[in-house]
This record gives sequence, C-alpha cells and structure tokens, in this order.
Amino acid sequence: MGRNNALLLVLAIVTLAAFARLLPYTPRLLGYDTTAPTVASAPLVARAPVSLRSPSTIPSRLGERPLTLVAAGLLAELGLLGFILYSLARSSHVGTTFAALAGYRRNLAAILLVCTGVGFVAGVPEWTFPFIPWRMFSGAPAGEPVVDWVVGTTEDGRRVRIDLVSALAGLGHTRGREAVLDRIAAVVAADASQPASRRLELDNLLQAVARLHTRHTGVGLVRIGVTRHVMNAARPLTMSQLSLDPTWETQVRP
Amino acid sequence: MSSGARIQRGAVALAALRIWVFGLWTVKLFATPVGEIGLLPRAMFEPIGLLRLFPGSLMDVVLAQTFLDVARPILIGLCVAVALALPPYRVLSVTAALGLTLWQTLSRSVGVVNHPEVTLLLATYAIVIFPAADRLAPLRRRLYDASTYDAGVLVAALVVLLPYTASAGYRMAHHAWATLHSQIAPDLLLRQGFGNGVAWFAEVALTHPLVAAFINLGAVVTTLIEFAAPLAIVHRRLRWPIATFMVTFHVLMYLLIRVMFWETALLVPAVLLAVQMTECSEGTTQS
Repeated sequence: MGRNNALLLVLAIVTLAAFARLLPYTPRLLGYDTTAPTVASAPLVARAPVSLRSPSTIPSRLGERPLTLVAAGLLAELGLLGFILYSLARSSHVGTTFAALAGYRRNLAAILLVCTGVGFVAGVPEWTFPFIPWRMFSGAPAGEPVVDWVVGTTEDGRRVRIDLVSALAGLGHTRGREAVLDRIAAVVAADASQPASRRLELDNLLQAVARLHTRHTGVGLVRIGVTRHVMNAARPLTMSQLSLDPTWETQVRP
Repeated sequence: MSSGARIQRGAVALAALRIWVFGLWTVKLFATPVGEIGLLPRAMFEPIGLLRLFPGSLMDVVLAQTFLDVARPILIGLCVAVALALPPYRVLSVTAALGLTLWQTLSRSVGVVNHPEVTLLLATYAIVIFPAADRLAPLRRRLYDASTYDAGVLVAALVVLLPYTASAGYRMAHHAWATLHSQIAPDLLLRQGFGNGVAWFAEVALTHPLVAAFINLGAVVTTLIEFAAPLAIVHRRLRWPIATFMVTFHVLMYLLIRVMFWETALLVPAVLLAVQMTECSEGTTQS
C-alpha cells in the first residue's frame, strides 16, 4: 500500500471515529441543547477547579472534566491509534497483501476493520456490540474502593461467602458477578428512600443466586445477604479481617 | 518455494486458525451452563446490540431455559462442523457466527458489556469472510491466490491485537497521570483482589512498598507494550517477545485478581504463528 493510500485509509478511520464519538454532543456543541448527552459519556460539566499544573485535580471521570481537556484527550487517543494503524498499513506485508486482494472479501474485510476501529473510539456497548470501546484498567474511581460480598447462611448456621463467578457461570466469565454486584451497589448503597421495587428486584436476584449456588455446590442456604466493606490502601486489611456479617439480608424462599 | 507451495502454506495457516477458533468456541460452550441464564430473573435482562431488534415476546422465548438447553448442543454441533469444515461449509460457518454473536449478546444483556470473548468473536468473523476450509478439511477445494489466505490471516491478527492498542491508547491519552502515579494498580488490587476473594497478593503489595513500586512500574511497561502489540504482526523481531509478554500478562492478571482473558491469551500466539507461516512463504518466494 502506498504512503498516500495508507494515510488516506487511516485518516478515513480516524475521522469517522471522531465524528461518531462527537455525534452525541453535537446539539450541545452547537448551543441548541444545554442538557447533558446520555450516550458515550457522562455530562460534560466541570464540578471542581481543574489545573494542568497539578494533574491530581483532574477528575478520573471524563464527564467531570472541562470540555477542552476531553477534546485534547480525544485528539491524543486518535493520534495514537492513527500512528499504529499507519505503521501497519505502511508495512510491505500488509500493503501488498491488501492491494492484491479483490472482490467482495476485500469489502467485507474493510467493513470489519473499520467497524472494529470506529468501535474502539466511539462504540456504544449497548448498541454496537461486538464493536465496542476497550477502556479497561483506565483511571481509578473517586473515593475509597468498596467491596461487596454476597454471603449466605447454611442450614447448619455457617456463614459462607458465595462465589458469584461459579454460581453465575451461565453468563460466562465474571459477567454474572459484575452484574449482581452492580445491582447491589445501586440498591444497598442507597438509603431508605430507595423505592421498594428496587429492593424487591434485589431480593429476587439474591433468591436466584441462592438457588444457583445450591445447584452448583449442593449446599442449601436459609438466608442470603450482602456484606459491604470500605477498603483503604493506606491501612489495608487482610481477608481474614473482613467480616461476613451481612449489611442486609433476606430469607431464602424454598 | 513455488507459487503453488506458497498458496498451500497460506491455505493451511488460515485453516489451522479456523480449527483453533472454532475449537475454542466448542470448549467454551461445553464449559458454560448456558441454560442457567433462563433461571435468572427476567428483570435482569435489557437487550443490547442485535437483540434490541427482537420483540419482547421473542426475548421471552430466547430466555426460556428449554430453548437455551436445546440451542447449546446445536451451537456446539455447528462449531464442531465448522472446525472440521464439513459441507455445506459456507452455510454452516455463517450460521455458527450468527449463533455465537447472539449467544454473546444475550449473555451481556445483563448490564455488563465486558470484553472476554470479543476478540474471539471478531476473529470468527475474519475466518467466515475468508476461505478457511480449503485445507485441513475432508474435501480438497480449489485454491485461490495467495493474497486471499494471507489477508484472512492478517485480518484475524489485526482484530485480535488492535484491541490492546485501543485499551492502552485510551489509558495513555486520558489517564496518563493516574497510570504514571500509581493510582490504578492499588485500586484494582483492592477492588478485584478482595472482591474476588484472592487478596493474598493485594495484601503483600499494599504492605511492602518495593512490591507496590514493582507493580506500578509493571502497569506502565504493560501499557507501552500493549500499545505496540499489533506491530508484532509486521516486525519479526518483536513478534515472539510481544506474544510471550502478552500471554504472561494474562496469566499474571488471573493469579493476582482472577481476571482472565484466556481466549485472547490463546489467540495471540496462534494468530502470530499463522502470520509467520504466511510471511515465511512470501519471503521464500521473493528469494
């Protein structure tokens, strides 16, 4: 692939990705809408003074950063991705192989690569799966790390920590664990103002977890609940120091 | 090496990837009790991706344990048939890819759209687009030109390795300060280590400054190597060092915080080996 063709291909992917990423913000950028976009990121509102001279003041969540900083980050992200794509497209092996490829396979391969590349930058997981952004291990959420455990009480009165990965293996990998913990975080962390329907949803979920735990381990549970631990890197605990006493629990229905 | 031998080699490399990719799906389907999705509360599911096109009544059918219990062996059969390149290959491979996409979409319709299996799914699309059943198959088919097979292998390698660049690029562009200043690793160790009940390393790392410093340095080095990972496709000298690093990285992540992308860990060396095969044949032809 020639230098110009490689550059054109990379520019096309990067421009399409930038356009797709900025699309949800268009009304706001044009001044037609003052409400925050709900797709791709949280509201673009700076909540605290941010200074580049003290980078620790930069919020971890992109939605809490000033618009200029988010834009600079997006430019850097596109530049980095573009650099690797250009390096690949310029290599003789990739260039000659794709230049010689003809027919519908060339088009399908191009569509797959463009969707994958645009998905990295501007994918919306709920809509564009499997062409989604890859942003793992990026930034530490604000506040003390919180660890929730699901704990059960067995028929002989023992308290056990439920292995959610095993109990919810049907969802694959750690998805079941993450899904349950996300819902727990949304309900248990809230105060009494939480609607009863949410509590009922959590109760139903934990009943299902209890049934699946029994199905996998053969150990019956009489009660199931949630234990919340607020962690601190400065004064770390050990596993044995973490209590199994539930913050909230419910009776397991037969 | 003759042009014919070069084509043969490319066809074998792509066919070997077909067996590997659909073999991994087969193992994965055997190991996953898919039917148990039907035992979870219906309220937990909010369709994503393709499933958004399904009417609610159809979702009820799809989420029924009976349907899932029947669909799983069918999907296993499809994956085995495609791995073995049984006829009618094209129909079977497209159906299998569609079925796998629906399964993966369904298992993410619980509010957690995470990344394990995504590279395997993208590599599946590459296998289905290109003629991956022309060798290592019961029927010997007419061969295409070498670039067709080489392109298939390259596309599979790109979709497996480019996500590393995307992840590292995002971290470098938006969270460079946090990555450089030890904010991510301790948080990850606390949340995931204690959350998954494998806190022995978190306990050691958080109480021994030297270990913590090593972990933080590791986070920076890993980010840089992740970013450069796709260059292993085009630079022979980088190929096996990067492959070794990435596999080690995945194994370490499992040991430390029980997060394992084993499909990707098994795909990286496989796609790079396939690239090496096509590249060797090309180099020999040129000489």
